[in-house]
Amino acid sequence: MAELRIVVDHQKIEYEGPFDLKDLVTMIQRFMFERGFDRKLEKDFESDTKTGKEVEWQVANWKKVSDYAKYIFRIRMLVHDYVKVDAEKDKKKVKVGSGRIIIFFDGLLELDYFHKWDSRPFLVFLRSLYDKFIFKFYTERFEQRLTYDMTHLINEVEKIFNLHRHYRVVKITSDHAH
Amino acid sequence: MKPLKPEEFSMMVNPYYTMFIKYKGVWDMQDLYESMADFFRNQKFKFYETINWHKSPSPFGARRRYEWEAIKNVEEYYRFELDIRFETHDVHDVEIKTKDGSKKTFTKGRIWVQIRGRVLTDYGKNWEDSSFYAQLRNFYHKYVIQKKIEGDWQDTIYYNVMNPLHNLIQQRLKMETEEYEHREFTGAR
Repeated sequence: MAELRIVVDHQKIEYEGPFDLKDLVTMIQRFMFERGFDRKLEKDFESDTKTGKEVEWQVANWKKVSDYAKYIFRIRMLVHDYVKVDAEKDKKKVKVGSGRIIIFFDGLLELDYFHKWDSRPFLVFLRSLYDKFIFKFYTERFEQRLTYDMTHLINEVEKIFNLHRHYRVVKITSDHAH
Repeated sequence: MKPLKPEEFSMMVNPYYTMFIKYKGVWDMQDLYESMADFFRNQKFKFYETINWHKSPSPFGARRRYEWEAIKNVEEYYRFELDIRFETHDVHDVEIKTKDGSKKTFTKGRIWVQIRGRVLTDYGKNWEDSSFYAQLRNFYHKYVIQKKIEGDWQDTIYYNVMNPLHNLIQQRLKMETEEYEHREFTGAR
């Protein structure tokens, strides 16, 4: 088994009110695309109910940063009671979506994704030593960059919802790492 | 980790991610069916409907299952294969009045779509005459063209075939998450 580190663990955003689901999904996809992530759509479920639409959408976009480390951004979105409501924008009537949304963000760092160091227990031991002591600086750097990207994405999502934010550039691995 | 099958280990069959869609609501089944078939025709796939299964209606509605297979030989050595499976549950026809006043029959119920794609190498089995040739081919796959298979052909099938098809289904079902940001990536318009 390759080593899978949870760097960002289940960061959650909950919101209830008007928002455009299509815009949100497009924004997340664009963000990933611009940063060279490959797309892996895991779930795309939608059902019409009496109270509105229920949507479950999950992606696990990934990017190989070196021949040893790989980023995985897992985003899970649950939308409840999503309906289109009338709103006024620039003195014009427009339809906007409204509902309740919960988004979970997970940032994972996969090391040794080619499984070169996991055929024997001794090699796994060597890999641990290598990660923790020899290659430590680089491993931490990967974690930091992953956290940075994830924080940036979370900030962008908060912008869409117009929430209060406190975004600042990540200098070191943040508190929610590990 | 799932153990690899022999043909996967020798990289003769290179499966990619499976995509799913689940939808519950109202949609135009005829339109969806035709659009998907047209998609494969436009992409020049050989297209076979292997299963068209209909179960007589239960109190909740009919149940149907379709299984399709699409094959395209992209080069002498590479072949794309897609398995599409879609099932509808508890479906019944409903009449919808369109904006222009005409009536149209739609389907109401649940639909589940699964898209599986894989890249096949040496599909003509030209390198299976002797065990030496087969070993040579395995070596070629593992050490010479591995990156080409993974980075080139698997990406091509995923971004040029599976993703647009997935997006087409979303469009036909009028899903809220209908988005396709990687279209620029594929050169699609």
